[in-house]
Amino acid sequence: MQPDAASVRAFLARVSKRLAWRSAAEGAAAGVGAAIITMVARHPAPTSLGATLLVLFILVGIGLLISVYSRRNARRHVALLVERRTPQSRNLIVTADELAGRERTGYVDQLVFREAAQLVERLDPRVLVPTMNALVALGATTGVWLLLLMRPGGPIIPSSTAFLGNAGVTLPSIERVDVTVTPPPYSGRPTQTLHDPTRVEVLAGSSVALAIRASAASVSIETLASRDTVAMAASGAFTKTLVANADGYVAIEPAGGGRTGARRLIGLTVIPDAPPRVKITAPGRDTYLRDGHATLDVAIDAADDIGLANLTLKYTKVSGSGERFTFAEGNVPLRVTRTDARTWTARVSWPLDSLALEPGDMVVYRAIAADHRPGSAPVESDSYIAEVLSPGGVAAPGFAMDPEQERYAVSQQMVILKTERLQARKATMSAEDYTNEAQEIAVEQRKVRAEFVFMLGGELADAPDLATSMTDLNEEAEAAGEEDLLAGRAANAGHIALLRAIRAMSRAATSLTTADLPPALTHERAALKQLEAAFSRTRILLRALTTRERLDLSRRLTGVLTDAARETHPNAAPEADSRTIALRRALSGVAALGGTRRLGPSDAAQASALAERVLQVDASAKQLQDVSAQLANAATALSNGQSDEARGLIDRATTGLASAIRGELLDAPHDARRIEDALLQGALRDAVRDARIAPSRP
Amino acid sequence: MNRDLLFRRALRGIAVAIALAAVIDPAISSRRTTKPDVVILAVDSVEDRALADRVAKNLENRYTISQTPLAGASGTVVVGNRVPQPSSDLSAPVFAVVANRTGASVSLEQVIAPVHAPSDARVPVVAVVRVTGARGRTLDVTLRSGELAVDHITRAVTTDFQTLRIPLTYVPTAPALVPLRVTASLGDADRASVADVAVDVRDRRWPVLVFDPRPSWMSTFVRRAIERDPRFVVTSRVVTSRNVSSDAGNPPGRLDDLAALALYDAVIVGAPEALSPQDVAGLEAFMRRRGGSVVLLLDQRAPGPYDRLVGDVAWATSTANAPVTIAAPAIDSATLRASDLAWPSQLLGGAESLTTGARPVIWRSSVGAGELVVSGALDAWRFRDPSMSGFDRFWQTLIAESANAAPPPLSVVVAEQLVAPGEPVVVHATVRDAALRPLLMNASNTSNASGARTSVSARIDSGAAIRLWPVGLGEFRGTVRAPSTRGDYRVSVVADGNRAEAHVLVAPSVRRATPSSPELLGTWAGAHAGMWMPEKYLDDLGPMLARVIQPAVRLETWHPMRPAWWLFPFVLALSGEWWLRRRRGLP
Repeated sequence: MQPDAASVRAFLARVSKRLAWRSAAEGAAAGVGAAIITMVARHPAPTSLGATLLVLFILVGIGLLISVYSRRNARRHVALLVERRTPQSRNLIVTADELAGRERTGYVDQLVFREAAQLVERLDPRVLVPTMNALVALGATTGVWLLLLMRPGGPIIPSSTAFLGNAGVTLPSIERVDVTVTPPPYSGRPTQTLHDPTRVEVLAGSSVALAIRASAASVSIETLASRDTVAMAASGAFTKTLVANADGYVAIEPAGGGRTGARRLIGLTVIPDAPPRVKITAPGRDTYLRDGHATLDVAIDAADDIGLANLTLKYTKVSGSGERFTFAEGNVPLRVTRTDARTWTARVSWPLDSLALEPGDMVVYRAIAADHRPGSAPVESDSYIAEVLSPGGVAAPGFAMDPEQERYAVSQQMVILKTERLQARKATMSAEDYTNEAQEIAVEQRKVRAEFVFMLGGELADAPDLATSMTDLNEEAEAAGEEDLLAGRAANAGHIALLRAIRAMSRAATSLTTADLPPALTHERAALKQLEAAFSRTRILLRALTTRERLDLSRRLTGVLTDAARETHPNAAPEADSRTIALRRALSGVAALGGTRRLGPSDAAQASALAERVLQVDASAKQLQDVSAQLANAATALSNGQSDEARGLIDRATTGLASAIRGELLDAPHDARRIEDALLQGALRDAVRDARIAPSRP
Repeated sequence: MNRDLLFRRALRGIAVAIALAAVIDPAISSRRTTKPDVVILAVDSVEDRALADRVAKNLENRYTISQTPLAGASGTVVVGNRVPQPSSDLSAPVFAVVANRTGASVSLEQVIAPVHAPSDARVPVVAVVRVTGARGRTLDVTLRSGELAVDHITRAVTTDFQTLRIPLTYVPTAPALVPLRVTASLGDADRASVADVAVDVRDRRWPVLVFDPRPSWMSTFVRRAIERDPRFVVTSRVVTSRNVSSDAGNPPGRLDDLAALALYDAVIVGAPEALSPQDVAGLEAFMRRRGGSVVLLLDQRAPGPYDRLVGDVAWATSTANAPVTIAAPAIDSATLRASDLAWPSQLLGGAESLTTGARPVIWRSSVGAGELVVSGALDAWRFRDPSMSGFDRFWQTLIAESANAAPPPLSVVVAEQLVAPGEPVVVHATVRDAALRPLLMNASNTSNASGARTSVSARIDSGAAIRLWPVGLGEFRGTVRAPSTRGDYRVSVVADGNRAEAHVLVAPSVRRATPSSPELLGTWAGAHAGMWMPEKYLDDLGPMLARVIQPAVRLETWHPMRPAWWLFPFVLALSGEWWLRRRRGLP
């Protein structure tokens, strides 16, 4: 190739290269512009610097590709572009470019190349293809992008940071909170790590380790029970470990340079380790044995929310009577079936021979289950009694069924009903079974009687020993009592009716023990009638006064009448319901926040404080937890400048809070009637009454 | 003179005559028939605009149409589905064209809210919403206080034409006149129906007297329930022996002292069978002359002087083995439990049972201007465990209702507490003693009531005095225009040394709920000498109007030369004359 031709081609190559650079700059500028639009629109949301840069690179790459590709024809025909911008060329460069592609050595070719070479020496590619505008556009868009990158709420400066009056001075802020929950070792549950949670649910006794990354000199961590200030650890994080024992919250507040940043609130829900549940499902009731050679089939169900540790069946043998009770305790080996770690069942066929039970002896048995929680007390099932019957025997005090549960379970009505049913079934039963069941009803009748005896303070002339001689009547005392009653010496009518009822119950029990049901029924019904009389007279059954409480009758009708004076108190002050008051204050605060026409980042702190205040009222209430979470999210949204989203969250928090208060308050009354309406209604009522009464008047 | 010259002179003469007549501008008086003025009013300025335009086009040939209220118009055509708000400004006869709504629509028919509410109570707001053509869609109803949504309820629409009562609740946070806005929509915010109301939240406590002529468990536990409620100030007297009592506060010495009793809104009496005839007379005077409320809490059914107060009714009693539940839907849905019951065999006319079921265990009746409540749940106090019974809530709510029903010495009510600037505000004031004066005269037959005069004056915060006119005994009414600037204004009324206030909130735009029933609109149009018709019969509207609106014939002065049309013959004559001259070659 001729030197002149090479010179022309080199020039054109330089221009083409410059064109390519300019296209690249324009494409990059367009890409950065698109990235600016995505940052302004926050879509995708600027979660981190890496993500933001990735978006930028993708958009710039797309811009480059489009720009370079769309200008490919211009580069291919670069001679034409030079020709257009060089009027003095008069097609010289175009001709040279066309001739350069062919092997010509003629005079004309040389002349064209020579003159073209002379011409291009005078030309400057920078003038032909100016790049200043493209570079300025690229610089400007890049500058704007960087500004957006550095703004508060962007990926570099976290959301909670707000620029203050002096540029470059920012508030301390929390960047990330890692929560590591380590359940207590006995639970066998794995460690769990959460990032930036708004609520944490943990098992009671769990260790909650907080690792906070923040642009701050220190971080204060507040819970319902404490407030600590934590300095930065060597790892660059602020760390704190808490033991979760009760529902509450963790409020984290960064501080530095005499300023505090936006708080972050993490709700804490503590799930307690429930005690095991254990129940004897068979026989599941007290039993009365004819002798001590019976076999008890016992079935036990046990369950726990985490896991059972052991399950046993314990018994206490009680023998003797009066002052000569003897006790012997032991365990019954069980056949345990483990459905899983939390659900166990056990069965045993328990021969009582080995206990050598005598008539009147009893064995009290109960199941005991324990879980793995250190220091937790084992849980006992209900205790049941297996008693070898002796004539007139009754369960000894102290081993009877739980009095609070059973006091009114067996009523006199039920005794009558059972007696009637047994009498009806007499023909279908063996004499032995009939007698046994009658004796069981006799035991129940004595229990009912005993309750009323206790109710009267244990005073019954004919019942010196309630525990052992309930059926033995002292005929003389009985007769004397009847005389007292007839003579009216016993003044309390309800008391008299109760005494009569108790005595009727004694007679009924005696008849039942001998399986003589017709007279037993008569006495039972008489007892019921007396009970009804006793309750209907007074409405309230007052326990008889003990000796210490007994009225001093000698003081009656003594004293000075004028000493009896009017007693005056101030008006009763209404009880302040602190929960409702606190909730209404919180609602007032939320309403004030929600009523702000323009919400902005400066309101984030208030929203966060309200979230905390709501949890302070009752951290364990699910409804309030939700309200608090909504307010905390609103605070975050406000920090990010998302005021519309924050407003929606505040609306929901308001509705939730109002709903929580609603149940505590009563409806406002309806509007009062107008006086003329009230008068009209009153006149109607008077007219109706007068019309009804008038005919009867003389 | 040839014909051409004749033409030219004629044309010139015509032009000169027109010009001279225009300069003179003669006026002629004659009897002429004019087009009547008809106002066409779109009830919903958005939804009904298109139909209103069609109606206007339909009538414009025969009538002069105005689309804003016009004083002295010959008639009005209302376009929409509901009665328009400023109905008093419309000229009769009024015809209504009911829009044929296509597609789903929702409208707020009514919003029910109390005018006043204590700050320690929740405010029930009931929105009555009519939904059309939206079966299967979801209705959203939101209650807002300012910018804040305070309650939100979503309901499924199950039929094509459905009217729903949506209960909403507002929990006040401070005493103030609170504007509330109810919005109902089918998910389309642009077509939402909106209504505004205002509730005057006040720190009001009702003074209540509890009087037991002997100790009574029933009365004791009811008293404790209301003592716990901050809305009451409870004064009590329990007579424990002759001339010996246990008092809380400073109760009146006797029940027949009306002046002392008048300080209380309600009197609660336990063991009423122990009341003396004088006590009963005092209570009756309290109800009739003070308008107060009396609550009788029976704990046993025994005859006594109080029988006269309850109307000498025959009583029935029952004792159940197990307590029965007494439900009172009107009393905050709370329930009582009791096993011993007493109730009148037959309620007197005007009396109302407050409980469900055949037995009116708790009932109320008007006595004069006051109210009597009688409870026959004799042993309800025994079953007051909150887990089983709403004992406290029941009595707190019932006694609040009763106390609130007692009129204050002077009450002031404004018809609308939320108004637009310039809107008329109707003020209604009631002077209790003056209103009850006839009763007082009848009851005592003394002359102290005769000749008594009541002096009333009223003023609004903006400075304007309100002229109140007597409309009944002790009743006064006046109207004032709302101030033109938004804000909370106080209407103060002073009468006989008493002072009372009501608040009016002026807001730039106020939307009110109105029923959208075509039947109601038809009735309303009928009452204004018109009728209603569906949109599809729009062509018949003109003839129907023509039958009732006759064109007016009146003496009218008119100027025949003023119409611009005269220019046309004037120019034509001059041009013709010029053309003829040019054709003859004349200058």
